[in-house]
Amino acid sequence: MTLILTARWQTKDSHTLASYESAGGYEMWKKALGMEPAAITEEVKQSGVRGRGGAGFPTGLKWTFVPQNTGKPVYLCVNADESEPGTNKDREILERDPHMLIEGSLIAARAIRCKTIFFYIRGEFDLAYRRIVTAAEEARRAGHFGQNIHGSGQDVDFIICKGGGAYVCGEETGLISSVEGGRGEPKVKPPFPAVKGAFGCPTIVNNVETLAVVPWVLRHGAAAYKALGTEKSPGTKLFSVSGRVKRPGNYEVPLGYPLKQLLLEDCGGMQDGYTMKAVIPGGSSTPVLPADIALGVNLDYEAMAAVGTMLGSGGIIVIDHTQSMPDLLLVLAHFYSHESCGQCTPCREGTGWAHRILQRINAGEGTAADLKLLESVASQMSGATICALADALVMPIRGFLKHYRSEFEALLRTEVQA
Amino acid sequence: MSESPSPKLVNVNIDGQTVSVPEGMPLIDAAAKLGIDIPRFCYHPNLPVAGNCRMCAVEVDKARGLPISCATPCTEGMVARTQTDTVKKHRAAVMEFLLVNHPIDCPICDQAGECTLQQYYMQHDLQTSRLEVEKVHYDKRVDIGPRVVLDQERCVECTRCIRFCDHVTGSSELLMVNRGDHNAISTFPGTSLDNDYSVNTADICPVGALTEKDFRFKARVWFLKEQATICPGCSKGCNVDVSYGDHAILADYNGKAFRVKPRVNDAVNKAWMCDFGRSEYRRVNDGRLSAPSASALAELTASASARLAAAGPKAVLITGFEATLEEMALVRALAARLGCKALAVADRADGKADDLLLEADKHPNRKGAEWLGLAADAAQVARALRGAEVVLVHRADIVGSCPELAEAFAAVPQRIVLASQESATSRAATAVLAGASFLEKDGHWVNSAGRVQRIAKPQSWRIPAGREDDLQILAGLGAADGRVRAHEVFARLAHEVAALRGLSFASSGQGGVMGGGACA
Repeated sequence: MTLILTARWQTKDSHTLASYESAGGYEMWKKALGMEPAAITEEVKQSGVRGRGGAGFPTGLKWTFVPQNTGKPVYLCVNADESEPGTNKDREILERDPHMLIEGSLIAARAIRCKTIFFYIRGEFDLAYRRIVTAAEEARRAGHFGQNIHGSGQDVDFIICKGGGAYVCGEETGLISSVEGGRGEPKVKPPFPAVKGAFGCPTIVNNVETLAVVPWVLRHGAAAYKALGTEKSPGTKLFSVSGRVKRPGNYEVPLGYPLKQLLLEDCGGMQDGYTMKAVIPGGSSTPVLPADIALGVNLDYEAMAAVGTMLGSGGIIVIDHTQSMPDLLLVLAHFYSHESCGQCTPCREGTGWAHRILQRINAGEGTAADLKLLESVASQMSGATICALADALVMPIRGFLKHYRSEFEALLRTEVQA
Repeated sequence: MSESPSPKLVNVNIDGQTVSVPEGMPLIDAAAKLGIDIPRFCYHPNLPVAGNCRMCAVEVDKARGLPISCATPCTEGMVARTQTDTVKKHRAAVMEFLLVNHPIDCPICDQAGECTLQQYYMQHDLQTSRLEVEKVHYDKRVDIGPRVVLDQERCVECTRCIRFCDHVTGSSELLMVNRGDHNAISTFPGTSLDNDYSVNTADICPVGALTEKDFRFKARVWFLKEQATICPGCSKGCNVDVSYGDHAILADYNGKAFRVKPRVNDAVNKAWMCDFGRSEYRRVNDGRLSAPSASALAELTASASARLAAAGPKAVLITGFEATLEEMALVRALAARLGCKALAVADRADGKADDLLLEADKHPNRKGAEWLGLAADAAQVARALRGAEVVLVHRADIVGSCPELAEAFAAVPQRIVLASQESATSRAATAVLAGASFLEKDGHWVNSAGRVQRIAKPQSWRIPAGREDDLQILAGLGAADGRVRAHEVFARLAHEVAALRGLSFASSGQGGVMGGGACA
């Protein structure tokens, strides 16, 4: 099986420049320096790489949205603010192969004619942060970025920004607000960042995993990448498997890979004494699948959509039979209400309200009216806000109630007729 | 007007009506042109768009979901609907969300009666509460600045106040702290909301989160009325509304002014005014001069008139830069009849100025005095006073403002003062005639840019006995025969004074009109 992202993870000191360069690292960057930006973009476009932050938007196409000749600088923001519960793929890339990511970022910068890369990393990351800082310093000393890179006459700067610990800064315009030094709040779109992003300039925001495959695409060609995965979901993807499976962790598989094979074979199936109850397939915001449906679905964007859920960030949360679903939904509601930036009315008030309703239900104080109210609050929040954070709670609420309503009903207080 | 090319016009259709607007105009403003009031909390035409309240969402053809009309630029052929069931349901949902953590303490809230949340509850919500869980509590009565007080519980987090301080004053004292439903407006540590325009934050606050300390708990707004007029505080001439008492039962309120708020005029002050101007309502209430009765005032006026007539050319007439154009015209007419000098003089020192609204010249009508040929400096006035037998000082505290003039004034045997408030000059007078405050008369001031703007009195107001409109007193002193009317005086001025040519009471309207031949 072809591995792109995890190919060097078992190599000793894979995070060092020496290790990366011994495996041909930064050769593609040197090649890209001599290429026309449009040619790089075209190659990535042809490869069919899609954004791995969760939305799955075609990466090469996104790059073409940068307007030319505006007279303004163009920025690339590397989104390393990985915060979706259940997702820890980017962190491991940062920790194990930071140079591959830096090289991919530099190539992307060249493709969009960007001279300043903002590398935005989640505030809670520690080892990953130290690894990227060290790697950037090594790359700078080696002349891979800075002034007049490798005598090409080109300049690219690489600025690392550490987040303050807000989930919403992983949303691209929230990230831009934070990079600008403002409060981490998503911005009204349009204008889209590609036209008017950081500091009012054209800006592309790409996820870590997305950028990390760019050197491979340039080395092996778009066709080689497209040969992996499915027609509409080409390439490989990292999946973070958590829950009571025997071997949780990050797995790289080609898109279209059967979820059943990943969970039952690669991860070794459930731990002894536990049975699989449900799977949240793409990070905690994606609708939950009961085990029987989950084990029949393939890991690609289209197959997931067909069963009413999303591939998302690839954070696969396996839920075992001991887990109370109302309790789990309470945890999620707490997370999203706590992480709501609070600017949009429906999200600010709705996520908190939903959380408190779930507290009431879980405490055995809820009534049938509370359950209806929870659904109503969810539908009033849905699609009514600047970013998708409110919907990131709406989807679990709907998914949990669709498949596990009886568990919620069992907790309700019976109303005594007066 | 400027040379900039006029923007391309586009046709948009809203609720079945078509309107032609400049391309890119926010849909919410295009709707307003059709008289369609799309509800909003965070949108303010003079501030950058935030798009956070979500109240102004409408249906737009070919757009996904419900786009917010404040952030939807008009394009050719755009079709929008603001009254569909989907839109109405959305508005009710936003209202319900806003009330989830709102204390609903209207009975003790000073915003009650002019609260957007109350108004929209009646227009767009009217649901009973479904809230069965505890509300989030925040701080109340937060002393965030010398003139504004904050109630964090009532806040709807629209961020208008933050954007005002960031983009209008540039002073950035305010910020949002915390996240989600624990969001709260606050000041940066070690700072206070203490800029020269801080009370505007209370004006633009749609709810009772920010209220003006000076006005708080003075009166319920439904007992007050508002009069459109001009701020007397400086030569900028900010357009304002003065709230005044006018109530059948609450007679204590009557005759009093309670506050000054900016009135929108994009050509002068947009939607803003400075904090200093806010206290100008006190001129209506405090230190007012009054004769014991109407007949006493008539007697004083007749006696003063006789003294002026007797002095003839040995009289001197002085008016201030706060007098209206019409009053100045009568002072000039009286001087012509007496064959004496008439001069207008400053009585307020230059003060704070900035590049927003505040102007150094603290008189509202210096330009008018210049146009009427009355403006003089202290030395010229002192010279004129030398050897005078009678002086009439109208609306100028020359004694309190200038030692040289105080001395010259004291040396004149007969000193008649016509003013509305007590001053060093009125105390040094031999006769005092009690005139009207700026809220009790009709007339015009000319701001420093040459805009002729109307000051006006509430239709229903009667000046109490013992005081009189300055124009009538000046007429009684011999400037005119019988009662005069401000619009007639202005009509004559428009005929005589080149800078006012062609203007009338009708044309000066509510937004004022440029005089001086600068602009039609």
